[in-house]
Amino acid sequence: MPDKEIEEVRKEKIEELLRKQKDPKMEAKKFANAIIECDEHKNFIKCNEELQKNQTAQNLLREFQQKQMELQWYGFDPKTLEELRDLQMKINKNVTIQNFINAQQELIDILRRTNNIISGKIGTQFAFSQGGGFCG
Amino acid sequence: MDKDYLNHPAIIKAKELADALIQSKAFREKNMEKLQSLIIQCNQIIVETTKINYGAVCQPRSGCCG
Repeated sequence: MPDKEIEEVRKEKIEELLRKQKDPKMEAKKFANAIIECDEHKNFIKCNEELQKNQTAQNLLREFQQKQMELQWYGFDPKTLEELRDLQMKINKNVTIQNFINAQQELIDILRRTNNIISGKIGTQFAFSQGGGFCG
Repeated sequence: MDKDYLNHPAIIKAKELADALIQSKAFREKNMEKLQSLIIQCNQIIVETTKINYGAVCQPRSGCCG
């Protein structure tokens, strides 16, 4: 095969490869949409809405956080600790809160798995944190 | 990996995203600065679309509320 022809074939192959090459930002968008559409995310949204609507659960969580802060700010106090344990037991028995915690954990689990896959393939940490918690 | 997750849509798309990153010019040329910038842009797209702080969630040291 003449050199000119070889060069043409090479060019065509490169162009074909470039055409097939996927844009990482487009793939990131598709990946994000797959997260939104997955069962774990839908369940998390549902459980979060139920938690927001449930006043008893909201009060329990607020009280628990308040007692935690009291312990942190004023130091160890057996009475506060006992109240905290009592609240923890009530939280453990509250179906709405437990459903939310389980749904959140399932979603976190799938997100961490996706990060492990991408990080493993590219050989560097993919998930980039700018601080904050679950919801930013 | 657990068998249940092999066909999970988010796992499939994560693999495709990883492949796209590997095919990127920055990765092929081992330009870590450009690759890092691309990774940050991808993370931003994920956060904007899902409203989940993906980076914070995936860092083992972080809790659910920051």
